[in-house]
Amino acid sequence: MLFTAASEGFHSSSIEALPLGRSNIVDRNGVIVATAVFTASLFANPGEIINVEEAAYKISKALPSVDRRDLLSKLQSKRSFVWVQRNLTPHEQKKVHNLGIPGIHFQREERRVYPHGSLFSHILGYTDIDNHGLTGVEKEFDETLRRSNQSLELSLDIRFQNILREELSKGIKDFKALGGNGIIFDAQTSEVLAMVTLPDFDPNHIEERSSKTIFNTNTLGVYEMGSLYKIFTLAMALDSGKVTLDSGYDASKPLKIGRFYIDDYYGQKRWLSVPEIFMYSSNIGTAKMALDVGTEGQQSFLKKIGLLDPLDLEIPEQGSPLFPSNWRDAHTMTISYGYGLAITPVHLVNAVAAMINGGIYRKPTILKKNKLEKGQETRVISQKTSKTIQKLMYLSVQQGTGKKANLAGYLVGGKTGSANISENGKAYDKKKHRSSFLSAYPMDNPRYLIYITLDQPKGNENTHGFSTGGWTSAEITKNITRRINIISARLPIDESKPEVRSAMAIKIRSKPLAA
Amino acid sequence: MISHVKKLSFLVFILAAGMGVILFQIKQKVIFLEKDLVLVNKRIVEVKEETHILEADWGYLNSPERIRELSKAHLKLRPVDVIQLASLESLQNEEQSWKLVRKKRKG
Repeated sequence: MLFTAASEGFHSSSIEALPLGRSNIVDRNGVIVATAVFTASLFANPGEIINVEEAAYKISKALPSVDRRDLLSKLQSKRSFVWVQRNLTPHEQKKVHNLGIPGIHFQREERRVYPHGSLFSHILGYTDIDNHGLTGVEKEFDETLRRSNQSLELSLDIRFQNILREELSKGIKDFKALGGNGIIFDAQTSEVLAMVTLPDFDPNHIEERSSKTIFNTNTLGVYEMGSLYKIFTLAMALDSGKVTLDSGYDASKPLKIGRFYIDDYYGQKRWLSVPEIFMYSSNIGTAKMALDVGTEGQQSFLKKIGLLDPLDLEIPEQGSPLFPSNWRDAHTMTISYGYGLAITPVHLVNAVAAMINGGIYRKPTILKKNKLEKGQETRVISQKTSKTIQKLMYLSVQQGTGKKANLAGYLVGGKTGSANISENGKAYDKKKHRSSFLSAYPMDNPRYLIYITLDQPKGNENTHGFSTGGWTSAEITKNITRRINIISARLPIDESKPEVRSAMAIKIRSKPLAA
Repeated sequence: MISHVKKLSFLVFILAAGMGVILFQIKQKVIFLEKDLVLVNKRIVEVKEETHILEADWGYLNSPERIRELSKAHLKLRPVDVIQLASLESLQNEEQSWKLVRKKRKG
């Protein structure tokens, strides 16, 4: 009848709701770093196949990766469903289709693809054949990537990531290191802009991975950071009010704890003021400074900058710091100059950011931050203390051991840190060491923090045989700094101008104030 | 003589039949349009998928490693140095930019 012809299921379905597979992961500028493509997977119903041997022969010829004997036994089984080959390319699909064999069918499947190969390997992680995230961001946000249609925005920048990986790779080659890792960090927002560990792997070919290449050194490995801790000890002591820039300690004789002696690498053998202790990287002076603050003071300081708690980053591979269960004065002293507390590179970089960004601690993140949302911010040191740290780190690069990292015109500041490796509680192996350099600029209001570590580098002609952080990692840092400035079109300034010099000036005493 | 009632009834009958025809035509049109709509929606999904694949392709073609290899092979360009960066102000102040260049040449 005219009036009863109802519309027979011709509904205009909502197009927006149809998902295009697993959501894309993009960098902070929208560049796609992980996406899903649809492929055809080949399966067979053995019952429907007329000539099993002919089918196995023809298919294995069209698809070289399929073993003929293996396929034959599958097709001879009593099952009604067997996979022949998953995720065929369109070309392969056409070839098999043209064979015209009854009993074989294609099923549309989704496959995860990483257009930039190994560039973001450790951060993105990878998925299994059924698109379940196994490591990295793919695992952490597995549910969200499957349900939502929105791209996941990382805080990382592909350009910075590329620069870091290229320069780190070059440095490892130049200094014949076993490997290395680096981070480029935003000191103002605690966003990770780049993070690389080498050797790495290609998530498009996870069958080639090894336990060594999938290890995310930056977030999982815990290390004693050596001299870099002096930044924290200095900030802690100044902020506590127990020391000032005019005070100092007698560093003329080694310090005895139990059976061991604490001594200075660049021994000055005299009284050193607080700034001098930092400049000459005096272990004796630093240890004495820490003792004045006390064990409890040190513990609470390190806790508030996140160094005693497990890393809280948006990936599953997170390291937990190692520190003494029975923390006494001896430990307070060694921790002050870098031994006894093991943390991850991300812990380190984030804590240093709080020291130089004006004194505010923020949680590190690998997700793009909305400029408007501030997130949790805690003041951990005063602005004044932060300014002092900025000036001292600037001095360390201008006149100290960090000279090689200096790129004129950008107010680069930093600190070298070479630490010997102790494996499984054995004695420190002087031959095995990690050479690090941590730099930040522009030091009057730091924005970028660059951290580079080389695993057992060797000196070469250019370094006169030296392999410490100041010679190796610092070189890499300089190249990275240059390239970052080029792409962000950051102009150099004239550092010799009087107003610049006075802004970064710091008065350094060499003799104690008259009593 | 046909009565007025009969005339009116006849008119109404014609009108009803006419409306029936028009209604039938409209309904037919709607059925065709709905069929069209399904096809268009299907096409939209296909195009969205094609776009998605093209975006992935574009990403791959723009991978820094690939661009680097291509520029090495085909372009005669060298990496830029920071001393080559300039702002409008610095260009106006010519003496200052020459100072910086001289400094770079020296050291």
